[in-house]
Amino acid sequence: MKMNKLYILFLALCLVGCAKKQPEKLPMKELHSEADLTGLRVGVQTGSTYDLHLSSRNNIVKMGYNSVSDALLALSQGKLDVFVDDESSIPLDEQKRLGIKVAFYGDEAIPCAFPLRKGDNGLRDSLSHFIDSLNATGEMKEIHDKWFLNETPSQLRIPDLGPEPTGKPILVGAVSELPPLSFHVASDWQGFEPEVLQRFGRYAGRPVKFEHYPLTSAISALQSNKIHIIIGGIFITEERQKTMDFTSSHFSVRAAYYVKDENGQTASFGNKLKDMFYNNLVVEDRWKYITDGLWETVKISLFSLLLGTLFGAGVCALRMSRSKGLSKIAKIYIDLMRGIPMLVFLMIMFYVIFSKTGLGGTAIAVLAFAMNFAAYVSEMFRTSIQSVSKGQIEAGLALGLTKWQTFWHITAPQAVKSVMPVYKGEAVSLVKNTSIVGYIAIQDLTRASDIIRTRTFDAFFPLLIVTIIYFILAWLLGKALDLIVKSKKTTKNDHHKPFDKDLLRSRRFYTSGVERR
Amino acid sequence: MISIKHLSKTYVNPDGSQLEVLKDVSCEIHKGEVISIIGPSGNGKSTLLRTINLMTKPTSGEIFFEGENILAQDYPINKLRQRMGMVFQTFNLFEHLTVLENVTLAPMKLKGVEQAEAEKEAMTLLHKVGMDEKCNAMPADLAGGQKQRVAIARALAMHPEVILFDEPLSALDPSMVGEVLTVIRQLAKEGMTMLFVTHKLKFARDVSTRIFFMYDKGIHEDGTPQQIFENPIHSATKAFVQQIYKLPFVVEGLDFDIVEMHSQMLGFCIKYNIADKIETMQQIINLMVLLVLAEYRPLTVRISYIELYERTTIDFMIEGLETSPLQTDDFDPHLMDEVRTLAKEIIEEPTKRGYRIKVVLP
Repeated sequence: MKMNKLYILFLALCLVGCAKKQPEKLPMKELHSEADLTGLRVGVQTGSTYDLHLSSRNNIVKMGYNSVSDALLALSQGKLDVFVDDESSIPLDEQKRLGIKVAFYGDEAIPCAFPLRKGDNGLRDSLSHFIDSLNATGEMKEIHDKWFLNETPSQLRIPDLGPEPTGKPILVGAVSELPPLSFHVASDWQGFEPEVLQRFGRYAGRPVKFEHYPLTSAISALQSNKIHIIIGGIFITEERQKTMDFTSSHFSVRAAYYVKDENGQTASFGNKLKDMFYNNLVVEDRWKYITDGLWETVKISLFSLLLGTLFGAGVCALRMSRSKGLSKIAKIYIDLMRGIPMLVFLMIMFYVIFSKTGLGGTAIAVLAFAMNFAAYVSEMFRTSIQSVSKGQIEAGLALGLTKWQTFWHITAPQAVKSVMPVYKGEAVSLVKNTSIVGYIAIQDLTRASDIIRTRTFDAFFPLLIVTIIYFILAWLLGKALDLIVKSKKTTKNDHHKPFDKDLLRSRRFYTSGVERR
Repeated sequence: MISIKHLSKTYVNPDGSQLEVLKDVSCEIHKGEVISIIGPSGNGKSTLLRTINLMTKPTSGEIFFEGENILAQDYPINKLRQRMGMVFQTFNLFEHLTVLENVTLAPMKLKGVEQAEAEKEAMTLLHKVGMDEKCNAMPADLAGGQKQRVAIARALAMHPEVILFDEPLSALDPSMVGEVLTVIRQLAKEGMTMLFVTHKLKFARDVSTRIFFMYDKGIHEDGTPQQIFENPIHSATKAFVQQIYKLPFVVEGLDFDIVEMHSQMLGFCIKYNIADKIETMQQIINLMVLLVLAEYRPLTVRISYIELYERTTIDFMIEGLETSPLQTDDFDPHLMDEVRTLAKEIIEEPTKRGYRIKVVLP
């Protein structure tokens, strides 16, 4: 009951936050070229090409944002006059929905290409050859225009290219998830670049597999041969050519200067909960990202919890062993695991230690989290075992129980009882920590919210949804652990109830006449 | 039944220093004997008891149980312990199990007794120690005496041939000693072989058939209670069993520190486990010192406690006086009546140095 009230209060607060009034609209002059930007507040993605490009101009107010959705939020709230990004970064239909438009395009077109691992010359040459021939026949432009000039590119699909080849798969890491460039509907990747690569796959007789990676991880993945190609409208820059090889350019991108469309609908930007709900969850069955992500999070959490607890018991056994060497090894392991940030450890496991094995991301994540969890819980186990008094153990041994029986029947049950509160806390924080698995291309709950966010440019609603889900997940886990401990106790008490009280009173149980005090 | 030959035990401290506790101890324990191991602290009483079921490993020597050398390499120690019960000073009931489960655990896990049967037998034993109605209680909810009775039932559940008691009464409130004693006496009557390490001389004298007086790292004197307590051969034994604990206090003038005196008395009573006497003691001393004998200061108050007889007396000594101060009219006679009701006996006698009033507490 109390919980229900809390949820309602929380939701109400969120709604109040959404209903914030829009700032007054400023009259905007028409923009036609870069010269018109003088005196305006211009937004860029921090670190992007445009960020560098505009830093040479002193007569504008440049503002950096971490994501497109953040910048668009600022644009719609009137905190920003212009936002500069790739012309492909906001599809036409989304522009309409968000009430923004392109004021003008930059003059210069920057060539994009597919990066490959340095030295992967065979693939580079054949893909370059393929791109060159498409460019020469004009087919490339046809495909490009089909995707980029479409009003609703998210509805478009790659045409049937015939049966999938059965050769060695080409693994592709996608860093962008936006139509029309590349995006996925359920597990199917669509968009301009996937179509080009699928066509190449048919030409080369190899199936093409896509997986999402954040840009930084994608480069590590490429170098550790986990993927062969990166897609996502990657510019060819001198800097990047030092670490990666590029194919021939398959298309070029101009800068687009987005402004608020005074004539367009403006009320739709996340003002109404219903709209947000519809855009973030219903359109294209986006709720499936959430449920799939939730399943992944639950899977990783539960398996790491189980495996980690077992590992932890093992480490604890080593730590408490009489052999000084074994104890030292366990101590080093614990200190090491505690000293490495979980994210760094996860990346090392994925990109270094297991990079050459065929082990899947989920399995590696489970292993990494289990190892980390083990280090923490083993010390908890140790202190709780040591907190069981010596007298208890002596009493067990004196009855004739072996050391192992004494541990199992006497020490362990008491240790479990005393370790439970801290263990519960650690288990819950394990669940929350799994939110970093997105870095190794696993689509968990947090990643699901990111995917939806990049599609809907809504910075708020997907986060709210996953926040609530994480909270419920943590709460349920706590309850479940409580239940395990409690159920053990009730079954114990249950089997005592049937004891016949009359039996107690019956005289035949008197074996001696000890007086009752 | 048990024979110990040339047993020695030396503890090695973490700093490398050695502490010899037992030195060349030999003895025979026969079936049906009830043996109390007494002696001053630090003379290896507990160590001797604990080597018998190998809770402590001796440094050298031999122990035979029913003719078998239990210190032999391949002797199954846990099988040995199943035949020897042990009861601890701190009870050590399994805190996570109910009273009933405490008793059934060992028979079920070690002898493979069915649960129903184990519980039936456990209830019989709990009934015997008067704890059957608490069978579903958790140990934390029990008082000390109750815990110790359950601990005895737990030991009995394995049908041991001998039970080792390591100071079974020391951690108990004086009010709870009786209930545990009743159970122990009953076991003795049934012919159970038992060994006690105890500080309670009266208990040792009443319950045992044989006494080991431990002194100087070994059994200094071994004999019947009558021999040890009435006619000890060695002087150390005599000094130990007949020792009187004393607390003297001089009441100087009108402004003596009465609070200090009371706190010393309390410390004395707690030390010798006679805390139940403190109230009577305080009443008598207050009446005597502040009222009856107020005129006769300075005087000396001395509390004595004889452990063997569990007798507590308070002496009031007035120097240079030849006649009884109680025969004068200096005080309200009702006060003395009050003292008489509190005391068991009052003895007045002149001494070489003055006059003494001895109040014996009940």
